Amino acid sequence: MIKFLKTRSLNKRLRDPKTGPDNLSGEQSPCNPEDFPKVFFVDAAPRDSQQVLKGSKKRFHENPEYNLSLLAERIPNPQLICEKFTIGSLAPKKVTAVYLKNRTNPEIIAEVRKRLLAIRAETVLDSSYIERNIENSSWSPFPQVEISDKPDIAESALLQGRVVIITDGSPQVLLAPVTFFDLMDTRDDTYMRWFVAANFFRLARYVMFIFAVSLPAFYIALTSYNPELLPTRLLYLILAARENTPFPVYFEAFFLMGIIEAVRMMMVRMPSQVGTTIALMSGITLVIAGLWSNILAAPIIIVVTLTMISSFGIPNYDLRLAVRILQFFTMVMASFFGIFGFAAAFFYIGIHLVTLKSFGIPYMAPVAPTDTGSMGHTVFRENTPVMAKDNTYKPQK
Amino acid sequence: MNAFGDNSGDDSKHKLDPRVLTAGLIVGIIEFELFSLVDGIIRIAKQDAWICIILGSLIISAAAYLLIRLAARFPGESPFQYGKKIWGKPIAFLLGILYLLYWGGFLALISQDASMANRAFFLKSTPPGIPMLILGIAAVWLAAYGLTAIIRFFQLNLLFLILPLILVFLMAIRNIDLHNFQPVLANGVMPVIKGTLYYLGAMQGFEIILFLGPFLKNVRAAVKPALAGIYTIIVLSLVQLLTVVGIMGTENVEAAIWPGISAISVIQLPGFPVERFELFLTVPWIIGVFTTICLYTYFLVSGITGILGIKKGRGISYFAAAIITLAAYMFPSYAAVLQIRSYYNAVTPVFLYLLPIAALLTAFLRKKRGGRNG
Amino acid sequence: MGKKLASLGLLLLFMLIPTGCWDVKDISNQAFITSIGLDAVSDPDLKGSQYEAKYKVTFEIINQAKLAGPPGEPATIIETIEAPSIGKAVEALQARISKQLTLSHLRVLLVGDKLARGKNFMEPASFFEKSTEVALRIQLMFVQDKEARDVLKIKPRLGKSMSDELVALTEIETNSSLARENPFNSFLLDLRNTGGRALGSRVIVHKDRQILIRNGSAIFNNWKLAGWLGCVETQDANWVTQEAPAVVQGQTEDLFFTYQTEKVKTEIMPEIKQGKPAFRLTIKMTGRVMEEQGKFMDLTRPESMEKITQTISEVVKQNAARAISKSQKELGIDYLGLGQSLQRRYPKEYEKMNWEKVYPGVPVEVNVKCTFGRSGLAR
Repeated sequence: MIKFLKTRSLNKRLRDPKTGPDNLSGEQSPCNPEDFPKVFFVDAAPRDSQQVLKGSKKRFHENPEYNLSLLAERIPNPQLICEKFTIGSLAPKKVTAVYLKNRTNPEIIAEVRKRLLAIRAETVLDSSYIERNIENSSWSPFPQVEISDKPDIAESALLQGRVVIITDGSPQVLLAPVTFFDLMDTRDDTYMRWFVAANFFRLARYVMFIFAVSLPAFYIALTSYNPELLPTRLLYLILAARENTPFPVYFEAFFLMGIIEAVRMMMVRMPSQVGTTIALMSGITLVIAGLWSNILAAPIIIVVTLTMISSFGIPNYDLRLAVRILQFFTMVMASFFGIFGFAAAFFYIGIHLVTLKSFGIPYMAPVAPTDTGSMGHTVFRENTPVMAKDNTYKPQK
Repeated sequence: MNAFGDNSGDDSKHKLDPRVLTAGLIVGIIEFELFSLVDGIIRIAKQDAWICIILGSLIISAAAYLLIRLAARFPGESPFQYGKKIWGKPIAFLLGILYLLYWGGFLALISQDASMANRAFFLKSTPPGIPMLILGIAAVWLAAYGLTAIIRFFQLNLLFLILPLILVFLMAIRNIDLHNFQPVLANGVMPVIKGTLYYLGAMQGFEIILFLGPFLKNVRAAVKPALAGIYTIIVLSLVQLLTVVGIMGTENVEAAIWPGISAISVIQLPGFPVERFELFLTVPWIIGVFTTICLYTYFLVSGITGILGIKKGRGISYFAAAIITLAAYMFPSYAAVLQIRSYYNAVTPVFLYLLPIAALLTAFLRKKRGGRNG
Repeated sequence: MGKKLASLGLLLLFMLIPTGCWDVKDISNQAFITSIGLDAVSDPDLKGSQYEAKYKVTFEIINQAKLAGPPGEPATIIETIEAPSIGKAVEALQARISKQLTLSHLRVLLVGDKLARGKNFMEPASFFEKSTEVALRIQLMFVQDKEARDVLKIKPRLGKSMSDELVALTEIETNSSLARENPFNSFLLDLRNTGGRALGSRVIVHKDRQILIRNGSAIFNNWKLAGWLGCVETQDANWVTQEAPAVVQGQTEDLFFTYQTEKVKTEIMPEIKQGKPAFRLTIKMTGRVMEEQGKFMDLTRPESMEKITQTISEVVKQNAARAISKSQKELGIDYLGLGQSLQRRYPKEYEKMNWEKVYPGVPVEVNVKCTFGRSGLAR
């Protein structure tokens, strides 16, 4: 259970004489836990955006002072610096960048500062407004800033040498920069006791990512272009299942993927008690009716369902969103050019991933550029008694 | 600022670890040739082809060492810059033009090769220009980000390239018949030497050592990674040879156009869930061809800017993309491609080994070296 | 920067929309040919013209509608076409089948007796080797006395099609020494290496019932079918050519027993003595006793083990010698591949001699080393 936190009186803000205001920066000050107000229990109780198996159930809150206090409490260290900015010409909001001065690459700090100061807006409704203003490419489907509402994730990010950006009025903080593998990382893996299991689940997650992006496209390519690559018995089964179905495979695939998206969207908008039941009902009804009437074939239903399940294996919401859209990209390419188009789609995605950077950090680090020493933190989980070393965000010598 | 609002210029600020050379060499050199190169050596040296590969490996590793010495002599300079210092401007210009022709021609050849295989296996009636245009745009896009981005792309693809090859080999192992390698040296030594020369000529992409030179932190430390890369390729080609000859036998290999794919289509493993192994081969094949196309696009584009002194711009990129796309229509028949390809393999050692080593010798004799901390 | 990306996207879109998908062939719109039977034409039309039919080609095509039907019902269509070439036959077949024909799942190639005897096998084989659709793992079988068509017309018992049954028969790993296993690709390799000699798989149709038996082998000489080996002769030959486990019968004074061999290893050692080739054959094997008839022995006792292994060695030695004498004396064709092993060891000497002439007189010494192995679960 979460321990109820007393509200403490607001102390007079202390200022460390050593860290005077920087030339271009916002207001810099060390974070001191005594400075900040505490928040009532109700506000801090967890919401079920994700299930928490292990680790703290505390989360960030709309109040930036409280959020800062959470971080300062976790890292009571004078090296923890908060840099305050006021953004918004009409309704100014407080935006705070927090980082560990001795850990964080000064280039990243400078870049974050530059991008925050460059924001010209009337107001900031939510941290996502900050996100879209500071990310490298708003066209890219991949999120270049991590969003989190968990203080322990933010703490680990600070120790990695990343910057935490807290926005007034938003319970989610931004962690920048981010790499693909950080987005695929979950708390549960890190807190898992046995590293072999953690690595297995992490590997499974990468496989699920690849499945989520490619499975329907692969199925289309095989059945519509290169059936010679199917094992003969599987071919017989698919042929038997598709005996009277009226539509070509790619049409079936697009149709069902659309239905899955519709069901998902319906579920999000409905109150949770009713939503699940109705979604389950409508989904099952559609599939059974489709199968019964031969409008849909069974293999495509397996493929699409597997894709959906796999896509939910991706822990990060924004990344999952990206994968949903990329699914359609690979499907289009596969529908037009078969296996070749499928491969070409992967080249395009791959090229984009390797050229994408988040605050100067290559997005696919530490795989491309390869740094085997840092893989223990993100790509795999090293068997180590302390937090695994991560050089990804360190200044490059 | 490029297409995605990223500043690609800041790549050059950070020097790369010399270890990137391993991935660069492996992914850069492997292409569709990994499968058809075996065919050429077997035609020449029959069942002794494996000796050619081992002999070739010695020569190639020596050449790699010398090339690294050359790059280390001029730290932080591109081959075009120190070329001028070594040879003097007029000769360097002439050699540069030769290299440009070589790269352009080779780019056209592999594109045509890719297009041909694509027509045979994947897209039979699609106009061949369109798939090539798709690949061309991607290659130019990647090449525009520079060599560091290309290397990152290689590193990303390394596993996808090597794992299927190993998997295929593991599955093929049961069908390999070592009798097909007997008798040893039945036709004398000459075919083996010829085969070795042929193998040397199949290492297109080797120039990456020189081009990566200015991007590396410590060029001298690059010897080990380079050798690691080269030996991986050699092991892969040995494995490929073992699979192809072991399964098909030399006589059948000579009858086949793409012995690698034919060999895999022979394998049978009843009960294994995926019975058609061509599937595993299409992955490294497409990746291999595409990465080599990217690399040569980069060589061509940077060569044109470096040698002719034209400012980097869209024109050159369009030119490179056009070569890749038009390659599908350039050659009258596949027989012509195979013919030109064998000429290219004969010419390649000159460009890959002889000229750079000559440059090193000349630099040594004329006591030329790079400006900074050489 | 957005403009660039947008223009790239537009370019792709423009590229895709007017072009459409040329190659899209939905899986349900294709007719998969799973086996092809090749026969000679007995009474060709248009004799003497360029349209003279040379092949009677029988196709087995998967019938999608019947795949989901009741078990035991064949899900195939059998069509026979006479044409001057296989390519022409496929072209003509398309006029009869309402789906796009494809050879991508061709699994079995059957060749009738008459065609195999009359035609250089490389001619029909070239069609399959050149095709980009055909995977080279197809099984090749020759039909004795009957036509390939007759085999394809048999109703399958366990599978949905005859090709299923034929492929399944080749995939059984134990007890296969009655049949010769030689798939398409290695058969071609044998032919190419020896200049037209090979031993291929055989299929026959049961005398009385409409069922199929796959055993024995087909002897090829000079690129054409030269004769057949029955199942016993094939088992003999398999001691030399193919290390397949067999059931061997042995007879001591008052005991008759059968012995299942396991782990058979045959080594052929060619040697040249005074310019003349000779062979030493070593067969190593182990196995277990399957059954006894007559006066039983305690198989755990060393002397009875000794007796068994000696008897088996003698029997196997006789069998192998019988196979060699059949090949050398009766037929004079080196289908056992002794020449190939000589060529590998002594390539220069092999080039010099006329192997076909020399072969019938070459001495072959057979040695058998049998170890007892197990007696099964009872003594």
